[in-house]
Amino acid sequence: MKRLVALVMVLSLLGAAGCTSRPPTIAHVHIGHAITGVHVTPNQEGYLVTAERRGGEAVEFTRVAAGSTDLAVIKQNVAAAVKATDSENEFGVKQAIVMAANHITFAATSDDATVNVQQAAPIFAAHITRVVERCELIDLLGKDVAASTSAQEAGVSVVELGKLTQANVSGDDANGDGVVGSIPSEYGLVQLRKELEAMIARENPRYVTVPQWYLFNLVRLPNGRWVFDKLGRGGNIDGYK
Amino acid sequence: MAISRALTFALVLSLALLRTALADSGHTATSCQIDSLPKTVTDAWAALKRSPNELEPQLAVADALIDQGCYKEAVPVLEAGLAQRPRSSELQSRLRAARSMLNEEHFFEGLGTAQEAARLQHSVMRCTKLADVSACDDALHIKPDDPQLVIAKGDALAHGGRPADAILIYLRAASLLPSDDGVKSKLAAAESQREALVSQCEGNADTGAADACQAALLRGSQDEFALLRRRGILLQSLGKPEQALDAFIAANVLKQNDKSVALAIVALTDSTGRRDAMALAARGTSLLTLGRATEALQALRQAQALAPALPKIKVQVAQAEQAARDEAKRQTRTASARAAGSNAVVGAGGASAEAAKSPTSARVAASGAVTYSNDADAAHSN
Repeated sequence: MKRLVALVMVLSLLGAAGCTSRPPTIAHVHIGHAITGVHVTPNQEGYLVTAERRGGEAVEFTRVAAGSTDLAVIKQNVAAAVKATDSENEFGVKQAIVMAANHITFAATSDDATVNVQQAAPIFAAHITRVVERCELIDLLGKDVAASTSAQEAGVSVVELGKLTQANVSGDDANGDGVVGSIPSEYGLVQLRKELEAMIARENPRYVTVPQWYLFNLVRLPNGRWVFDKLGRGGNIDGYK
Repeated sequence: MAISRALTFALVLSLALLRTALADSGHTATSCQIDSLPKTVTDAWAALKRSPNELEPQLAVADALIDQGCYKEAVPVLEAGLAQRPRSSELQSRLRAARSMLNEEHFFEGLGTAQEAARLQHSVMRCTKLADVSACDDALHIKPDDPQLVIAKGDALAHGGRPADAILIYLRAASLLPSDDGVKSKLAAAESQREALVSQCEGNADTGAADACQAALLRGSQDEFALLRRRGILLQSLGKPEQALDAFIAANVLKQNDKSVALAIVALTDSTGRRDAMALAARGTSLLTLGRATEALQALRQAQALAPALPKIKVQVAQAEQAARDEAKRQTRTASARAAGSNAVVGAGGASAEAAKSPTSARVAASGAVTYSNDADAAHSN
């Protein structure tokens, strides 16, 4: 009897640790692409993680620019901040957060999506707008700085860039109610992560971190259905669209 | 890795292209014309009316609507079907697809809106913090009646040394915010700034003074003509004939009977050789002012040929024609009077050689009455 109990406990522990043959739902894999990992990002991290990392880099570059009186240094760091914010080749904040929203939307349209995910996905997609808006504005201000002929002239834009890059990470208090990120139009990545985590917390069946194999081997068939590539080609698949 | 990334971007791109394609073909939810749907949809609706509880016609209507991009309209059809058959996977998958497309549309709309919003914020920032007047204009193009933006443009103009332009903008702000004391004080400050420029324009004789005249110009103000004339004089004295001519032309538009302006325009059109319609019209009216109607008519006709739609040109040509006729009459009268006087002298002092050649001339010279009749003939010949 003791042996049986021990066996059940071991099996339970193995199950809890993920040693189970049961694959995650397609919806959860898409969510995993947003928050855990995906093979296309520079560090194979989740899109939201990429957005957060690049957002932090943008803040740092802008901080260096703001601390300099050398126009060349200002321009160099602002260019780097803009690249961290909006770069198709190197996953800027904008590209990463849009991809995160796309994958949450993919999750919602998967056959196995829960009502919770179906309802939360369009809300999340709508709520990324302010971050995207700031990214666009950072782009425009970056052009102003690039065209500046003096550190003083660039300074006005750099101050704004500092506020915007920071707000993209932590949100802002545009309505002046004393609370940062109190409404979606004040959201930064911090609030967007909270929103995703809240959605995940409501999941039933419960969301568990998706193993990397599933994250990297989810592919879409020509008929639009999502399946796992049993050959494990890491999404690098000819013949699948 | 690269291919995978390309695959992912291709996916996003395909979504964007799909949206564009749908928009181009009028298939977006907003452009779904429910009154002008094709026969496939109307036929499907008719079939559903005949058998409202059947799955097939429900699916047919939903499919037809989705094919037309009418996702919003397809959703209630599918929801109604699901109310009857909650477990139908066909209805469920179509509903999910329709909702997904609707969400996608909203998502892309949101991204498009984000770009526009960023552009507006950028313009507002440049307007308010860098006094960039063109950025103010860009922002006001999007939000024309935003009082804070209007004030910001006034501030930008005042900051840029254009108080007269600022006054006009503050007046507009005052009409939007009639009881705003801030606008009133900004208006007063701009008026003071303008007065200082008027003094500089009138009191100095350098390039700064000419610029001050320009900056002080306020459309419709009592000193508008005087400032333009003064600017013209200053620019002319500073060796800038082209700009001087522009100032005088502008002054001439306001007041066409000023001889000093008219003289300047005639002189400057000669010296600069400007022969555009505006310059020719100004030259024409100036020549009219100076009583040189025949030349005026020539210049005005040239202006009319170049720009038939030039304001008042027809009237000006007509005036010049009349004046030229009058001028011709006067000239004829004067010539006749001279001739008569000369003949009288000749008659009194002895026969001249020319008079001797013509018996008629001799006869005219002998009679004042005949001289008047010649005048009349000359007038008629015109």
